[in-house]
This record gives sequence, C-alpha cells and structure tokens, in this order.
Amino acid sequence: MAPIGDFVAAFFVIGLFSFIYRDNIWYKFAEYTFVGVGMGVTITVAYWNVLNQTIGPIVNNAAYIFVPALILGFLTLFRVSRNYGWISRSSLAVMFATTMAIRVMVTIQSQVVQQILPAIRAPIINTDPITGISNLFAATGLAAACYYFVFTRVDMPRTIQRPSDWFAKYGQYVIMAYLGASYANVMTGRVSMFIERILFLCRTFGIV
Amino acid sequence: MKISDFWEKYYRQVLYTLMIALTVFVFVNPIGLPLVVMKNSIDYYEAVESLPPHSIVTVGVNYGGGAWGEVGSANIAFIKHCIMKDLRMVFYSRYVEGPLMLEKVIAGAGGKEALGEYGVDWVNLGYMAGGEAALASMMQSPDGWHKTFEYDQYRNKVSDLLLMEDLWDWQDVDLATEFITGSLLPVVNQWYVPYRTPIICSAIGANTPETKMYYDAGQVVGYLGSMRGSAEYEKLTGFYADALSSVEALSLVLFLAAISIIVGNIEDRWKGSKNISTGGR
Repeated sequence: MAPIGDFVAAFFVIGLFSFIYRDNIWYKFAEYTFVGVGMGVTITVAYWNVLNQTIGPIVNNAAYIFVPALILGFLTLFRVSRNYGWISRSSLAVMFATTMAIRVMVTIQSQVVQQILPAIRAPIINTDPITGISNLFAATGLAAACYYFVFTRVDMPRTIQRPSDWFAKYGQYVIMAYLGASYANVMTGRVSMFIERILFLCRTFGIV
Repeated sequence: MKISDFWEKYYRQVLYTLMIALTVFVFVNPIGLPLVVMKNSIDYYEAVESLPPHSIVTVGVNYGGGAWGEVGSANIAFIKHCIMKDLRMVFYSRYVEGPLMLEKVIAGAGGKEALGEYGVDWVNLGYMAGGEAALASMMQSPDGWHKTFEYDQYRNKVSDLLLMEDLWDWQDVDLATEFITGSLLPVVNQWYVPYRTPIICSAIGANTPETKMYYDAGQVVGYLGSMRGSAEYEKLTGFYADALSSVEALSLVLFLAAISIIVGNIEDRWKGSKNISTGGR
C-alpha cells in the first residue's frame, strides 16, 4: 500500500498529464500548486541560508567580513520597488564584476586551451581505425567550426565563392550535427522524465 | 470522420497513448533488451572502484525532481557503491531542491543508518548559494570548506564534525562527484583547472554533449549520460534501482518517436506541404 503522500502526488501527476487531452481546471490547479510549492521551498531555503551562512557567522564569530555582503544582498530587495529599484544596481554590479573576475581566466583555460590541446594530440594513425577516424573528425570538425565563425564575411557578395568555402560549409554541418545530437539528448531527457512518472503511477496504483 | 482527419485532430493524444501503453507494457513484461556499457561509464565506475577505503568523496546533489528519472537512480547506486567501498561522503548542493532530493536518495539507499555514523562516515552540508564563487571558495587553502559552510544541513556546527577535521581544502578531496541538471563548467573551472581535482559526473540528457566534451579533453575522469548512463552504472555495480528497467521503455518510446518523425516527413512530402521548413506541428 502506497503512503498517502504518493496518492496526493499521483493526483497532481495525472492532473498535469490531463493537458494531453486539453487544457482544464485540474491541470491548472496542479500547475499553480506546483509553482506555489516551488516558490515556498525556494524562499524557505534562501531564508535559512542567509541565517546560517551569513548572519550566523556575524553574530556567533564576529565575522564582520560578511557585513558588506549582507548589506549588498539586502539592497537587491529594492528591485521590487518601482521608485527605488535603482538602488539594487550597485549590488548587481558587484555580483557581475565578481563573477566575471572569477570566471574569465579559468574559462579560457577550460573551454579554449584545454579543449584545443587534446584535439591536436589525439592520435589519428597509431590507433584502432574507429578511434582514428573519430579523432580525425573531431580535430577537423573543431578547425572547421572555428573557421566558419572567424572567417565568414557578411559583406562579401554571395556569388563569390572562395576556395576555402567548402571548409566553412563543413564547419556548418559539424555545428548542425552537434545541435542535432544536443536536441536528441534533450528529447531523451524529457522522455526519461515521462517514463519515471509513469513508473511512479504504476507503483502507486499497484500495477507493478 | 476519416482516419486522416482523426489523425490531424488527435495526433497528440494518439502518440501519448501509445507512449503510455508501451511504457506500462515494458514495466509489466520486461523484454530484456541488451545494454552495452560504454567506456565513459566504465571510467566512472573505475574512478570510484580505485579509491582506497576512507577516501573523501564530495557529492554535489545539484538537481531537482524533474531530473530524478535521469540521475536519481545513479545517485542511489553511487551511494551504495561508496558504502561498499567504505568511502566517506560529503554532500552539498548548489541547487535549491538538492537537499530535498538527497533525502529521497538516502531513503533509496537504505536510510541514514546504511550510510554509517553521521559526522564520521558522511556529512550533509546542505544548500550553498553563490554558484561558481562558492565553488571557488570551498577549495581554497587553508580552510575553504570550513569558511564556506558554517553549519551543516541539520544545524550542527561544521567544525564539530569529525569527518570535517580531515576536509579543509582541495588537497583533501580524493574524488569530486557531481549530479547535475545545469552545466559542469563551474566545477571544471574552479576545481579542475586550478587544482586538477579528479571529477566524475552524472548529467541529464541536455548536458550530456557538453559533459562529453570535458571527458574527451581529460577534464572529467568519467561520466554517466542521462537514464542510459544510470542503467549502465547499475549494471556495473549490481545495485539496481529504476534505471535498468526504465531504459527498456526509453528505447521503445524513442523508437516510436523515430518512426513518427520518419512517417511525419513522408506524409508531409506526400502532401507537398509548404510548411516543411517551419518544423514540426
């Protein structure tokens, strides 16, 4: 016998699935309840987070280094005010600047340098044929995708064909293949969600 | 009503009904489709398997209820794997729903007792705001973890926990594990680039291509991609949750989707539709 909470969850899941037929009051009720509960969880977690991680250290350990952060965090609440919303900009400016400072250098390392080096070093000849072809495709695909962006000139008449245009076209196909694979993965994820909920319903109602 | 008119009007309902029927059928009558374990999943498994007992593993539970089907099973199997290997686990979350999901995972892994003594064998540090800045702060010498987390999820002082006496900065982390719905980039940026911390990751489908990119570049030791990856890990560890049974349904439903796309394209071509370039309905 499933606990009562599972039946409540099943009520909302079926309500959300009822949208497959058409929009209805059961679906709307389930949707609004989900949004409300989600908001409640977020606010509660944020409240305890500020209390534990910021106010706690200030009060208990005299860690006054957190005071500017607390003030800046408080100022962001002014975003809800039409007249005083501008006050929150200083907090946002600090957030953006800090994030940029933390990210920029390491992102160049992780996304550019450490991606290019393995592509160059990947063995093409002294390995098994499948890995070799795969590595060749990855290396040329990387170069072609970069070439597609870097050397595309929008001011050039479309009738003029450069000798290297085929390489840019190859880069375009590589990008399209990546987007296709990404979309297929997203779709797989959504179907996984759907299957997990069906399994949940089956268990709740004793089908499996 | 003609069949074509019925299809035109109710194609969505028909497809969903077929999907539900296929899924329920597979759950009631498992087919036993073969599942090939990919190298990335083996590397993920080996990364845990190669750790000596009492190693410290950080576990980032960074997903919500929507991702449960994709990474929840892997998370349960991972905890059981760590218990079997006698590893010490430090849970944290950058996702608001993370602590809630962790409670569900712990229940699935046999309850808190199964994880060992709290504060000695495992610790739940709870949610931490701040995103990438918080990640950078955790690993900093000499006491990043203690400065970032003052209290744990259950309001214990972190400095009072025995396990945390062995976890101060990047040098104490033997393996970082991430269960994610968002990008892995912040973790790679702040943990791999400066400190070369070994990272393994279980990602949802939408983030799998990006995670593979880090894996191919050697920035990630191993990864599990979506529900299929979870099923592969369940097969490797022998700790079965839901993924291995669900992945059969996934295969059939995706097969149905592929057939639908092909049939839909043929139908559109047959009719000489002018809307082909605008995509699906």
